[in-house]
Formats: sequence, C-alpha cells, structure tokens
Amino acid sequence: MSKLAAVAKYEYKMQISRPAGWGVLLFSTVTAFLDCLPTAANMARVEFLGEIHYYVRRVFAFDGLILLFGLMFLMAGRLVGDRKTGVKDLLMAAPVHKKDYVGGKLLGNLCYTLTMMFSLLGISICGYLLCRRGTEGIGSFLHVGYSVALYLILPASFFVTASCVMLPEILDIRFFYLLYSILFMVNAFSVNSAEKMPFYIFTQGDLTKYIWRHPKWPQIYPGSAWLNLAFLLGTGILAVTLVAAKRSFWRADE
Amino acid sequence: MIKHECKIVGINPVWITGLLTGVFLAVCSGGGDNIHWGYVGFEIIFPFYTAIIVGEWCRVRTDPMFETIAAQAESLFTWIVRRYILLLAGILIFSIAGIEGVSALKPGMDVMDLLLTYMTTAFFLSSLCVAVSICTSTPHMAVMVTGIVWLFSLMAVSMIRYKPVSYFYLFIRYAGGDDPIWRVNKTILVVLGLCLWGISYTACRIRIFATADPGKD
Repeated sequence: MSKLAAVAKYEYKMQISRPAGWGVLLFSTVTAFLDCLPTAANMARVEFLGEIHYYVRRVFAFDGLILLFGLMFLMAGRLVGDRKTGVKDLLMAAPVHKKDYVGGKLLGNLCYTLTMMFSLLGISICGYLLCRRGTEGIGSFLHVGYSVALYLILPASFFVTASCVMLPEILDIRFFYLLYSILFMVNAFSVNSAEKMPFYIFTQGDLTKYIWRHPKWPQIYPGSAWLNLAFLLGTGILAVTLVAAKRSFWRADE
Repeated sequence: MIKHECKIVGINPVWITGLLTGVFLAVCSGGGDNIHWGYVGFEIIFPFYTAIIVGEWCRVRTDPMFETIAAQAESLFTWIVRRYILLLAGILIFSIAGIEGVSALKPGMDVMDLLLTYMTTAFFLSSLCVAVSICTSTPHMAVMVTGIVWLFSLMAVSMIRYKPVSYFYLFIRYAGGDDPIWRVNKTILVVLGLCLWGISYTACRIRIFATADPGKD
C-alpha cells in the first residue's frame, strides 16, 4: 500500500471511530425527519415535500448544512493537532513525503465527510419511502441520488473538507472558525428565489437548482452555477496549495 | 494570576476581535437598512464569537496543564471562572466599541438595548461552552456543540410561531419578538446560563474528570 493510502486509511479510521461525528449525524437526521418528512403536518406547511427531488434538496440545504458545520469542528484540528502532539515530527523523521501526508489527510477526511453525507442521503431516502405519497419509480430515486451527489454532496464536501483540514495550518484556528461560521450563517439565512444566488452559497446555491427547480421560477443560471462550482472547488484547491507551498510545513529537503 | 493568564491567552484574541469589530462596522456602514445590523451583530455574530473565544482559549480539560492544575489548584472552579472573566472582559471592551459604532452609524439603535441583547445571549452560549469543556476532554468539542445549537437556532426561526419556543429562542430580538416576550426570553437565557454554571461547579466538585484510581496503581 502506498504511503498516501496508508495515511488516508489511518485518518479515516480515526475519524469514523469518533462518536461526536455520529452524534452530529443523528442530530441532523432527527431535524431532517421533523422538518422534511412528507407527513400531513409537514405537507400542510411546505407544499412540495411530496416530491423526492425537493425533499432531498431541502434536507441537504438545512440539515446537510448542520452536518457539515459539525464536521468542520471535527476536521479543523487534524493537521494542527498532529503538530502540537508531535505526531508530525515522528512522520517527518520517517520516509514519508509531504505530498503523502497532505494528500492522505485530505483523502481520509474527504472519505469521512462523504460517508457522513451519503449516510444522511440514504437515511433521508429511507424515511421518505416510509412516508411515501408519490408514485415515483426506481428511476426517480436513482436520478435524485446521482444529481444530489454531483451538484451538492461532492462539491460541498470537497470545499468544507479541504478548507477545514488545510486552512487552520495557515490561519489561527479561532479566526478560521469565525470566518467559516459567518459563511455558514450566510448560508443559513439564504432563501431560494428567482434571482441568481451568491456564488459562495454551498448548500443551496445556483448549482443545486439542477436538483430541483421551483415551478414558479424554473430558470437556471448556468454562468452563476459555474461560478458557484468554481468557488467551491477553487477554494478547496487553494487551501491545499497554500499548505503544500508552505516551506516550513515539512522537512527542509522537500 | 491575571498576568499569567494574559500570557497564556496571548495577543491573538485582541487582534482577531479588533479585526472582527472593524470589518463588522465597515460592512454595517456600507450595508442597507433592510437588515437590523445591531441584532445581526450583537445577538448573532458577537455572542457566538464570544463562545468561540471562551471554548478555544478558556480551555479546561484540553489545557495541557489541566492535570496539574486539577491536582494542585486551591479551587478548580475559581481557576475556570477567572479565566472566563478575563476573556469575557476583553471581548466586552470590543463589543461595547462595536455597539457604540453601530448606534452612531445606524440611527434608532439604543446602546443599552444592544448591550443587554449581547450580554444575555453571549452569557448563555459561553456558559454552555464552559460546561461542555468541563465534561469532555476532546479538543474543539465545546465549540462544536455550541456551534450546532447556534446554527440550528438560526435556521429554526420559523419555530417561534409556537409560543413556548419563543421564550427559549436564542435570537428573539432578531426574529422580532415583542416587548414582554423578549424580556422573559432573555431572563430565561440568563437563568439557563446560571444553571450551566451550576453544572460546571458540580462537575468540578465531584471531579467527573478524575478517571485514575490511585489505589489500583
């Protein structure tokens, strides 16, 4: 096994065994079920909940945001923690390259975030099936899974993971928390509308309009959606690049 | 003691809080009047920032010297309170400056009203942070728990249609709560904050963190 894969595997095992992550997933699931399940009471409040695409988009716009917010705190100390506890010094003394370490940490945490996000997707679809009101076939469920993964889970998870794992190595972790809490706050405040969404909204930006479109505002803004995607991927890549380019991060010979 | 705590905390809280206050005032001066900047800033952003500061700088069980302090300090609870008050006082200076700034920039915002709103919400969130940081030794857990309560409250604004919820809702001023309700709400938050301090005190008294049994060694 390559060293990168070994670091990633260890990181994933460390993260997945933390009860706090599962606690956040449980909390997100409970709030998702209370708010979004297509029960009579919820349907009276939100008319589109009987539609699987809207249901899943709503789950991720609100409860997926809470899940990502919780995971942010669990991932933010991974590099800083290794530095403080001396684990990084041990790794630097071993024949492990910087790219193995950084790549492994990123990959392990990305797999962890994706596990949590896809778990929420699976659980929410199971909940929908239990309270099902529509007559969707298997094709609808496959389509919703594919579109949510492509337009929301993958870009948002990469953005949050790369930022959370890498940026605290560059910025003070408290400053990082403050910046990203404000970003999450703006996300929580944003509401779906006929207008273009700001590019920095990551759980209900213009990219997510490809999952479900409001019948009254069916228009999609491809330019804005591309900008949204570029922000999510670009910020993640920038965060990784900043750490990779930091000379004092690893041995002087690399 | 205060001098030592100041050394441990360092200069970072000062420049980060100063930067936050400056940026917030700059955004506020350029922002429109559709948003109540006073409540956004001093009921939502600054109270959670206070919790971040308390959770990350006023560390209890994640402090590397915790075992020594727990074993040798005259009173662990006094040590926690002292550290808490020091950080809270530091942020309060910047918050008052921010509140004065907002009330100067945006007419119709009462300084005492914003200060009361800030203090009560910040007290509750930071008390929660302290209580969690005594109960767990996992780094960043206290801020995570407080953060989830904060973000969930932000998104659950529609829940205040149920009257009992409006008495507990964290951001009642931002949500437009009426006069008798928001006063009761803020009083309840202070009482809950005091209860959390009671939990912290009890946790220190019964030493829930003491896992090693000296007799077995």
